[in-house]
Amino acid sequence: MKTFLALLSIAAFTAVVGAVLVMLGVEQHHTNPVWAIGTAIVFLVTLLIDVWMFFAIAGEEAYQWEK
Amino acid sequence: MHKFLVNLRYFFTPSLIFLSLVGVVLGGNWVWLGVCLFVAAIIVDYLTSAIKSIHCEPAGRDEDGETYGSPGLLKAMMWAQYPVFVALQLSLIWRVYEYTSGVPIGSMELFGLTVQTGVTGWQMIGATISAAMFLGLGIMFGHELAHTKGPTFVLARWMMALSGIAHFCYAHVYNHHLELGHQDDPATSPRGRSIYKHYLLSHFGQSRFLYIMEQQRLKRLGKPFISPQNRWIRGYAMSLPTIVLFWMAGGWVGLGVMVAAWAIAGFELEVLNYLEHYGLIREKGKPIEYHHSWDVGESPITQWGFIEIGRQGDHHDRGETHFWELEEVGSPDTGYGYFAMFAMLLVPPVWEAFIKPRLAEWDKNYASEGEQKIAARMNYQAGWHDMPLCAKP
Repeated sequence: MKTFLALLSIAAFTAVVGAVLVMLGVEQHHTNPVWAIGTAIVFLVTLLIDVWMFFAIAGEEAYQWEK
Repeated sequence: MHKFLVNLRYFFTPSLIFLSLVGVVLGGNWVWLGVCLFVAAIIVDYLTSAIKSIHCEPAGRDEDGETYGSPGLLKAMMWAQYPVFVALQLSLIWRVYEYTSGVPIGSMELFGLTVQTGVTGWQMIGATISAAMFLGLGIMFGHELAHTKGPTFVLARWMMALSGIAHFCYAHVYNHHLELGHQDDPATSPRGRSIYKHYLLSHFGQSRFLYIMEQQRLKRLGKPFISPQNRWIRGYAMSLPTIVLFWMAGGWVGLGVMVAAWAIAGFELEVLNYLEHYGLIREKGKPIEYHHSWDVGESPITQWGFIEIGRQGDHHDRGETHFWELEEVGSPDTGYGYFAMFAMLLVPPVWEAFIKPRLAEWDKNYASEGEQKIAARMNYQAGWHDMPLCAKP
C-alpha cells in the first residue's frame, strides 16, 4: 500500500513539475543551450526528489520479505 | 590458437553492441537490427542451453597455471565500450533530432555506406529499443569495472550514468555483495515476486542504499548532505549531459525517448539481479556461500555474451577476481542461459513453472536447516502450497 502511495505521489509531483514547465513554455527554447541546461537541471532535481519521495513514503515495508 | 579463441569469445557482445550502433546510424529498417540480434540471441541461447553437449568451459589456465585470458586486451576491450556507448547514445539523439525536426526521408554517404536521413515514427521506436537494449547489456562491463578501484571505478559510474543508474556501482559492491540472499539486499528477489515488481523495488532500493550511506558518511565528516561530496547526488548529476542532449535534440519527445531508453536499460540490469539469486535464502549473519547464487549452465551464448557473469558462485566468493579467471564451483544451476531465461521471466507464470522445481531441489539439497525453515515460510507466503517445503508462518 505504501509503495502504491509512493508511486502515486511521484506521478503527481512529476505531473505538477511538467505542467509548470509547459506553462513556462520551456520547449520553445529547448535548442538554446542555456535554456536546455537550465531545464535539464530542473529535470534532474525532479528525479532526485522523486527518488527521495519513494524512500520517504514506501520506507522499509516494501523490502520486508516476511509480512 | 586456444588462447586466441578464449579471448575472442569475449568480443561477442561488444560486436553486437557495435552492430546495433551501425543499425541506428544506417537508419531505415536497419534500426531494428539491435532488436533482431537480441531475439536471435534468446533463441540461440535457449538451443545451446538445451543441447547439453554444447558446453562452454571457463577460460581456464595453461600447464604453467597462467590464465588464458589476456588481461591487457580484455581490460582495453571493457574500457573501449564507453566511447561505443556514447556513440550509440549520440546516434539515437541524432535520430531524435531528425524525427522532431521533420527531416525528410533521403540518403547520404557515410564511410562508403548509404545512410538513410530522416526517420519515421515506427523507425524511431525501433532505434530507441535497439539502442536501449544494448546500452542495457553494457551494464555487464560497468559491473565488472565497478569491482575495481580508482579511475576504472569512475569509468564504471560514467557508463552506468548513461542510463541513469550510477548508484549501482556503490550499491552492488557495498550492499549486494555483503547482504545477498536476505531482505537487506534489495537486489535479491524473494520467491513469488515478479520481475516487474522487482524492477521497481530493486532500482529504488539500491539508490536508497547509497542515499543512506552518504547521509551517514557526510554526517561523520561534518558536511551537509547537499554538497559536491555527495556521491548519490553526483551519480545522478553524471547523467546531466545525457538529459541535456536528449532535451536539446527533441524537447518533450527527446525526453520521452531518453526515459524509455533508461527504463529498458534499467530493466535489463534488474533482470540480471533477479536471475542471479531469485528465491535463494541466507540467514542473517551467516556467511555467503556458493549455494546462495545461481550459476547458469554452460551455454556459450551466455558465458561469452555476459563475460562469465553466469559463474555467480565464484564471483560472489572472489568479487575482485577478473571474469576470465572465474571457475566452476558447484553452485546450484538453472541449466539455462540469461537470454533464454529473460524470455521466460517476462511471463511470470512461465517463470514460476520453470524455477519452482529448481528451488524445491535447492531447498532439499543445498539449504541449511535454518534456510529450509525460512524457505518453507516463503513458499507459503508466495502461495506455492505445492512445494515440498511449505509452512504457515
